[in-house]
Amino acid sequence: MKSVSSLTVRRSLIASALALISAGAATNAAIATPEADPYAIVLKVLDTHIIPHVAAFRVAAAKLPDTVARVCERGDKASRRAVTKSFRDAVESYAAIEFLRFGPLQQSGLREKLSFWPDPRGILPRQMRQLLTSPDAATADVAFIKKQSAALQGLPALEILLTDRKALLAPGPGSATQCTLAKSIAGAIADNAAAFDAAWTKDGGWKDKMLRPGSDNDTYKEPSEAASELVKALLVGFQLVADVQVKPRLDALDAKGNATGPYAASNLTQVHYTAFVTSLNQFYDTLGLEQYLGDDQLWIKNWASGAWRAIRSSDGLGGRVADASRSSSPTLREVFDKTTGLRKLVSRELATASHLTVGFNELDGD
Amino acid sequence: MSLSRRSLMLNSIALLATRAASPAFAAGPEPRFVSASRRADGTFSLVTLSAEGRILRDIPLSARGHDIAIHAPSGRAVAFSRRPGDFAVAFETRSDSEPIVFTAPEGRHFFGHGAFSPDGHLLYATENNIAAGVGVVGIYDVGRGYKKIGEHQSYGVGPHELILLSDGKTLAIANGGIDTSPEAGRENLNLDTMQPSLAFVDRETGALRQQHVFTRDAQRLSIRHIAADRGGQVWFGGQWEGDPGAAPGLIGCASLDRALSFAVPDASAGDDLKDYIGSVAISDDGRTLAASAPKAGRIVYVDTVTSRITACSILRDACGLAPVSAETFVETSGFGVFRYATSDRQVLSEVDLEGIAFDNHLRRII
Repeated sequence: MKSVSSLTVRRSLIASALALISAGAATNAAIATPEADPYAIVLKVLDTHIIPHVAAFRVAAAKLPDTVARVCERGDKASRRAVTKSFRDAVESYAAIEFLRFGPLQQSGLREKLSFWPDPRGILPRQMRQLLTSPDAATADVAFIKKQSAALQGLPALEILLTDRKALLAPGPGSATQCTLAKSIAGAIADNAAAFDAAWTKDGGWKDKMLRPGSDNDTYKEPSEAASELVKALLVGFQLVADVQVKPRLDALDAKGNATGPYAASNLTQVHYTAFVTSLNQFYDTLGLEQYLGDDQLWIKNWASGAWRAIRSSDGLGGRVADASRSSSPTLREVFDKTTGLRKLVSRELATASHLTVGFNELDGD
Repeated sequence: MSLSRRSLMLNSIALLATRAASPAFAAGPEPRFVSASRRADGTFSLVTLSAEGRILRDIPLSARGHDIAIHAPSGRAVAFSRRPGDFAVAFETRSDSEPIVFTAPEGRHFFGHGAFSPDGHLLYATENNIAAGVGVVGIYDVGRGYKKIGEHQSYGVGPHELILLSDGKTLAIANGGIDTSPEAGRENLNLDTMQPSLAFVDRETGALRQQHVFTRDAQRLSIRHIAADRGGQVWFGGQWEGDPGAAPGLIGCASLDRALSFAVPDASAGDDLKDYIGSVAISDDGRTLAASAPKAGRIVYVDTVTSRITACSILRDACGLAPVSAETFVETSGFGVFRYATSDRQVLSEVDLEGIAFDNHLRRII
């Protein structure tokens, strides 16, 4: 082979402003920025965001078995309200950690076990129908449920039983099987949420792994690798909002069809969306990547601030939340565009400014 | 405006119509390589490159591309959109004639890979039967403007790369085992039950000649990228969907008459590949397999005779690989690096293309 000289090809720098942003917002990529301290970033995000949110989910999930048992014992309005609230709290707190798709959520298929969604092929309803007619259902305990498919172990499985108007959870033979299953599924959710928390916080758990990078660490050799993992989680969060929550609904609207959001049967789609984007926004703020931008990149802060305002003002369904910080309802199209724009800004401007760049191919392999 | 994949396709056509190809063919170097890429402004394109790594032609795409099927004798090439895209772009590598955009039919989407028949008259592409959630191989008639004329079963779910073996008759198909649906974005829908396989299919009859599946311990290893050596062994690189770091291996081989086996790691070469192989390529003499691991920033080299990993080189976000001799590969990265390197880790030359992120696959044109 003919050797090639080590020529550095310098292509003229195309305007780096995003297509979504006006032409006047051009940037210079190479400007002096303060140094980010990856260890400090990781410590701050763990202590003030991840660990508290993981604990909140464990606490919320731990209440499910009791409230489900109570409604099955009493079936009165108070117990029904209590189980509805505890389910809502569990969904809300799960939504806040759903984008942390690395480490513990990847272990033992926990993500699918905690919340099997999206489910466009209707696997869960089909399996639940089969389970309800199975002779094992009447004696199913937590251990039995944890041996079933991931779909049958999580919050959407419990939702089916909580919202089945033909067999409301209550005392009596009419819903005995449903109650047995609901209690066991609630127990499985609580168990898995506790395992998730422990995987983060135990000695030698994922928190330690992120805070103790080095040659003997099988995942993170350098502090910057652990910090980049958090940037990746943020980018995954944007992708989940845009492509999994908003775009299917947008496409369905265009086709005059119907798209079902998560936890629609319990009317919690909006709650899920709001909790998700609120946590994602807090995660973004806690990472604090904007502080490493140069003076001539201040437009990014302004644009991001407006984007977050739009995303958080939306209810995720095309309307506006009650406490929205802007007066007009952001359209789903705007939410999609703003989320996608933020994703691009973080991956190419904010991550670069903080020296926590994430590779094009490593982020989302195929 | 609709975000449907059909409208994205129409955007592709519009972009192709408005962007003139470069005058590279008037005089100057011949294109030697082609890759999908992301430009500095965040848009996507196909780029052809000279032997020195200079961009000769840039064909805009409305969405991210993936792999390119090449028919070397005719100079014909087809680039596929990335999963779950449904457009493909056919172009001539020896002229700057206008590309042809074609789409997968309603109810199907591409998985990003394909291969030509030996005479170049037919194109085979991995596709998803969206409603059924099973893989198919689409057959397209090149002479009729890439009209789809039929399909075979892929004998699995989520087929990714397919290659034509040297007998000119057998397609090797990497059935990744992962079910996806456009209405759920790129979410993996069946990690709990996924069953990856390597299938050998008669391209003329569609008959299954052989199929190898993983045993339980490796059931979460999605076989994604494949390349054949001269002995007829098909080498694969996988994506592990199980517990982080628990993959039984990521690289291995099988043939029509030999079951799946893993390459033997070499501690000195390093084997921490972070659960993902982005592409594989076989050296011109068939003796060496190169496999890129973008999450780990590594490229490993495997002796295809001994099945041992012999060396490992470092390249951040490494992914694209194309052989140029018995010992040398061109290797590209998501940070715009285009380099010549040998299987004993010597970097012969390196070019840094500012603002370009090379996508998963690099193909040699001639």
